[in-house]
Amino acid sequence: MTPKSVLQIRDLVKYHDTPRGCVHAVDHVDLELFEGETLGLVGESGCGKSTLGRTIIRLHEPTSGEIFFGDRDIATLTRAELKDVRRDLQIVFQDPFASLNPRRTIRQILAEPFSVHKVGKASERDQLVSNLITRVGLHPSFADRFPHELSGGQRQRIAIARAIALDPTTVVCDEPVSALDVSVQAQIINLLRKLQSEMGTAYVFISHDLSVIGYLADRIAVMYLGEIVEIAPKTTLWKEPLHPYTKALFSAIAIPEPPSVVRKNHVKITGDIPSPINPPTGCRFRTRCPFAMPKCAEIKPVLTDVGDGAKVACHLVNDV
Amino acid sequence: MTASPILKIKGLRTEFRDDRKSWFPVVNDVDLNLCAGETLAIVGESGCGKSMLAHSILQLLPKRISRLAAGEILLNDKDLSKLSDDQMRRVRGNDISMIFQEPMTSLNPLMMVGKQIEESILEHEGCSKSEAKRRAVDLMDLVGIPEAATRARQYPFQLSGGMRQRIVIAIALACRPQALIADEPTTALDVTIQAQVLDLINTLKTDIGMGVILITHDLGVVAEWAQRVMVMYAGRKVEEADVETFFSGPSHPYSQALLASVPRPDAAIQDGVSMPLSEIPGTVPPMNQLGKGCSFADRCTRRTSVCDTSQPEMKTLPSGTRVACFHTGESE
Repeated sequence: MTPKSVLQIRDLVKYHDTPRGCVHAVDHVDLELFEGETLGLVGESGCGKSTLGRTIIRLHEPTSGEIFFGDRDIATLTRAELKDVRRDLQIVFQDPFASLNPRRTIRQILAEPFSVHKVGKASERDQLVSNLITRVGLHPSFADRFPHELSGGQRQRIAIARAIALDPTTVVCDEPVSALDVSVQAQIINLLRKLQSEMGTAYVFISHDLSVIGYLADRIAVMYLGEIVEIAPKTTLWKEPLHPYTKALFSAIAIPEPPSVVRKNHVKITGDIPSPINPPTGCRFRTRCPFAMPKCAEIKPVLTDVGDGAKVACHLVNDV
Repeated sequence: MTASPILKIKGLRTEFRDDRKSWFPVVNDVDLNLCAGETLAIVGESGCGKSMLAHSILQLLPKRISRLAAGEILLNDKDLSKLSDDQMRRVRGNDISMIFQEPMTSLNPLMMVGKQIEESILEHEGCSKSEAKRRAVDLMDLVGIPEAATRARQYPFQLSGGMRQRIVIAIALACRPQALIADEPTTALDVTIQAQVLDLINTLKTDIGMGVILITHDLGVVAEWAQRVMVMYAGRKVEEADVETFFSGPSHPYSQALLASVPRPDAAIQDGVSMPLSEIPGTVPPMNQLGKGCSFADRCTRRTSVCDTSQPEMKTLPSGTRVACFHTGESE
C-alpha cells in the first residue's frame, strides 16, 4: 500500500533580499509529505528550516517552485483561495507568548477560526470552543482567561487547539516544544501524538532538537544551509546515517544514560555554519566536513536515492 | 574523590521580598561541595532555584529585594557571604567566575571583544596594557577562536553565537579562577556547537584544575559532561548522586519523573514504537506559596499524609546517593 501524499514540494526556492546580499534561505528543496505521517525537519539555526515551514503555508512568498497541496499549487493561489486552503493546512509556532493575541480571551482566540471559515452558528461557537479546549486537555473554564494568565505549556495547548480547530489534514509545527521545560515538553509531545492518532493529521515537525525529532518523526529530513542533505525513515537514519553532517548531528546528541553504557564515537565537526548569503560552492557542508575532497568544492552533490526510501546528497556516498 | 573541596556551601538560604513585604525563600537549606577538577551539574525545571543558587554564590542578586538569610559560602575557607561589595568584586572573575546563558547580552555590544577580555585581566592582575592585550589574544587562541589577533578587534555582533560564547568563556577564565559557574552555557547554541563549547570547558577545567558547576535542564548534557549531579526542586536540593548511579536509576520521585519525561529516540527505535512519554502533572509551585510539607507532594505519585505535614530530611542511601524523600530506601 503506497501512502497517499498530501503535500508535494518541488524545487522550492526562497531568497531574502537584504542590504548585505541575497540570503539563500531555502534553495531548491524537494519534499513530500504523506497522509498521517510526521516528517521531522532538523538542522542548526540558520539552516532555513523555519523559512521552509513558513513558505510551505505561504507566510513567506516563495521565490520560485511549486507547493502542491492536494491538487492545488499553493504558490500560485490568490488570497481568497489561500484562505480556503488554510482550513486544511495550519501552523503552530515556537513561542506561545508571541503567537496569541494578549488582548483577547482564549474564547475569542479560539472562536476566530470558526467565524473566519463560517463554521457553525454564532450560538454554537461557545460549545465548539469548549470542546476544543477539552480536546487539548484543559478545563473549559479557561475560555474566559487571557493568555498572560496561562503558563507556557497551557498557552502552547491553546495554540495547538487553534491550529486543529477545523480538523486540518496537515499541521506545520515550528519548534513547538523548544521553549518549554522537559516535563511540559513531554505533555505537549504526548498531546500532539494523541491528536494525530485521533485525526490522522500529518505533521511537518521542525526542530533543532534531535531527541524530540528522533522520538516523534516517522521520517527525518536533515537541512543544511537551505538544502536537504539527507532524508530517510527514522530507523534507517538512526541506525546508519550516511551524510557526514547527519553523522555529526546524531553523534552530538547527549543521551541520559550512565557514562559506562553510552557508546561514544563522536564525529566532530569544527567551525560554524557559513553565511547563507555566500554559501560555499559545490557541497555546502565541505567547509566543515572532515571528509571533504577536492571534488566537493567543484561539483554540487545531488540528492540521490540510496534505497529503503533514503536519499543522500554526498559524493562519498553517491559515488560508491 | 579525596581532594578537599574548594567551594563549600552550608545551609544556604536566600530570600526574596514580595509585594506585601514578607520574605520567602528561593533557595532553601542547600549544601554543596565542589572539588577541583570536577563538574557538578545542577538540574531542575525553570523556577526550581538553580540560577538563584548560582547568583547567590556570586552575590549578584539585587540587594533591595533579596537577602542571604542563612548559611555560609566558603571559597577556600573564606566566607563570601561576609565580604563587602568591594571585596566581593575582587573575588568575582578572579577566584570564581560565571558564564551566562545568552552570550549576546553578557557582552558589551559597543566594545571590541579583545578589550572586554583585557578589562578583566587589568582589573584583577594589575599588569601593563600591552601585557593584557597579549594575554587576551592568547586566551582567544586557547578557547579555539581562529585568527585571534584579528577577531580581538571585532565587536560582538560580528561573531556567531558559538564564537561569542567562547569570548565569554575567555573572559571568565582570564584570571584562571578556581571555580567556574556555567549557567545554561549552551542552551542558546546548536548541538554541534554545544558539543564544541562543553568540550572546551571540560578541557580547560583539566588544564586549569578548576571546579565547574554546570547548571542545565538537559539531562543528556549532565550524563555526558558531569561527574556529580544535584537535582533541585522548589529551591531545595532533593537529590545528589554521582552520575553513574543517578542515570542507572535516580532515587527521588522527581528525578525519576524528570528522567522519564525525556524523549528517547534510541528506545523508540529499538522498540519500533515510541511509547508515550511520562508526564509530570502540574507545574513547579510558586516559591511564595509553599506549604510546610514536601513541595513536590502535589505532583508526586508516592504521596502519603506525612508528605503534606513535614519536610523530608536528607538521607544517605547505601549507594552514596543523598536524597530528601520519605519514600525512598523503602521497598522499590
